Amino acid sequence: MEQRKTVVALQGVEKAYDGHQVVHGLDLEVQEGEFLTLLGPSGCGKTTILRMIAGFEHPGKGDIFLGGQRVNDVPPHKRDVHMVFQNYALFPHMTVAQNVAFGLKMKRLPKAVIETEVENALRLVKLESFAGRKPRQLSGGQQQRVALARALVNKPLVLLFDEPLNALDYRLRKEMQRELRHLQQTLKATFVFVTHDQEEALSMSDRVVVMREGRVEQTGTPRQVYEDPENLFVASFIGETNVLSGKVLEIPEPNKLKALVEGVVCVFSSKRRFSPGDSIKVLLRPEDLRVETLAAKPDTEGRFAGRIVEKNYKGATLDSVILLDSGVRLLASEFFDEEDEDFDYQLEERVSVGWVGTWEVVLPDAP
Amino acid sequence: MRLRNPTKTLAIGSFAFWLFFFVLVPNVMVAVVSLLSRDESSFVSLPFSLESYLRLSDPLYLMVFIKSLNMALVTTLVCLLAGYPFAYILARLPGRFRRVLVLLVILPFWTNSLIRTYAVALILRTNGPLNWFLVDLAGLRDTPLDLLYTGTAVVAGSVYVFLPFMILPLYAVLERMDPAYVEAGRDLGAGWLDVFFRITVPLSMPGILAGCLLVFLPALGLFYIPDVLGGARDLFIGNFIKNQFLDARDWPFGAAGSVVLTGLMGVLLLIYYRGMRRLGEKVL
Repeated sequence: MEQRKTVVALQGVEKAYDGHQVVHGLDLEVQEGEFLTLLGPSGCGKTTILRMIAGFEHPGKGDIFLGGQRVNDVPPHKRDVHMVFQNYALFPHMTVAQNVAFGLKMKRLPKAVIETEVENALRLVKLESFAGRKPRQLSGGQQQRVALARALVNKPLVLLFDEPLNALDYRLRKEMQRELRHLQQTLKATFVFVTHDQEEALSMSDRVVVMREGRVEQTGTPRQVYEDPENLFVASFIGETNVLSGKVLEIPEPNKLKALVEGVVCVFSSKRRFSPGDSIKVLLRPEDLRVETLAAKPDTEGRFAGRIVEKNYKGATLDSVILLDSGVRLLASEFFDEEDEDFDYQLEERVSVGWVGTWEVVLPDAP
Repeated sequence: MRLRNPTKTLAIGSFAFWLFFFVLVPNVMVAVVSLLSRDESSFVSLPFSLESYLRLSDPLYLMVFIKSLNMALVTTLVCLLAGYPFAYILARLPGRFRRVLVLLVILPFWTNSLIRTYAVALILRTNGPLNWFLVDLAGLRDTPLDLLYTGTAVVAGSVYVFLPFMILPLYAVLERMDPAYVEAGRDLGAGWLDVFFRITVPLSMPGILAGCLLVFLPALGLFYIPDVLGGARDLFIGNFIKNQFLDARDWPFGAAGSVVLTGLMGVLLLIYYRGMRRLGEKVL
């Protein structure tokens, strides 16, 4: 495995405002060339972490290292990191070019160098023809690119993003996500991105840090946190998921368990260890569910029986809500199958619900 | 259309009425008077003449204008230099301190400014508290300062009276300013000085212009502060106009001075609006 340099390291970092703890003993390392996303609901401390790396906040406890050097007491303007702000914070009295040149000017670089660098940066974000405009004459997406160019042009150790895509509409957002990812990979730059949007986090990042109330809940690749969530919070925060309660009956073989879930005896696979009698939560993603009408498949062994109470046509998928006989609602999201004539259910139709084997996640029922 | 909203019609109507009778009519009257001749018994009389304006072009009166402009300019500069740091700090204080301090800035308005000017005179006079402090208490000087009845005293008094007019618009702009701009500047490698002069000051330009205008224009037409603090030594436009109306009883001459002053202020306002438009700020 290639050994990459650690660009940012946080060790035992804590932060409190007025006695209210917002970050608890945080350890975090960002590798060179990595796209790391801090993901969590608002108030989970992710922005505070970003601001501590940038130098706007001082950690109460612990240390912050940038490029191997402890920077706790280094003011923001002497740190080799740059931030793309939530509302861009473009200087309204300066042109696009002046905005981008600002950082280089502060480094007192020669004029000619600044000019070329600014030109290159603007070309990178496809805004070379907007150099002379004022920020307010640009669209939201263009302003976003200027903010990006203004940070990129200084070639910082690490670029910080504080929910920069929030103000953009859905399509522009998607476009910027792809573009950011592309830029990051071509420049081999290190990005630390903060967002509360799980879709954004999954689609762009090399690694996702899921946070809640100032603590890290799980760190992993997008695939790991989606497919193998370590706890209920991660599972329900990232993507939609159905949560079912049950009790372990027996362990027929290693990595398998037989359990009574919603009145049905099922067999699940899990790498976690359970003993008979344990309370468990079974997580099933809507897209992993398979719904069959009872008419087409009367055998309900190991499947949940219920009836369709809602169906939503979503274009690529058909989302249906099934009310199980136990009273629990399941959300199923299925791709259209041209071959299947019975695909479209009727409301109130009796169905049985199964799932793609081994794609379930079984977690101990947290006390 | 207009009748559909009676409140709006009434508001606009009364405002127009007010402007017409209390702004337009008096100004037209002053302009007309300035073109009349002086009369011992009834203040003014026909025929129309430009004599008052011709008399104003005397270098003596030109000096009065220049001196007034100079005094107003110095007052404005001192107010800006003193008011900016104050407004800057004020805008960054926690909410409760801020409210108290803004109240303290406005508080002097509750006392008549003429009375406050006499208070300044009391402080500045040879055996007043200032000299008592300088000579007797701190021992910084052997002899008392002769401040009263000097240009410095006039500027000091004017700054004292007009400072709130500088602080309030500056505070309004600085308080509204998104702190992210300063952070972005710091983030991009700018130290405090660079952030202040390259970001904070340019972004607060609307407040600077508004404050300067609010101080400069009234300072230009002042008469009681020079009267009380400057003694009879210096004559400013305001004193000149007041003297013509109340003492010399030469209404046309005083009115001519007033028209020129109004014209001067009009030009300055025009420059202000132009400047604001160039700043890209919507004025009102």
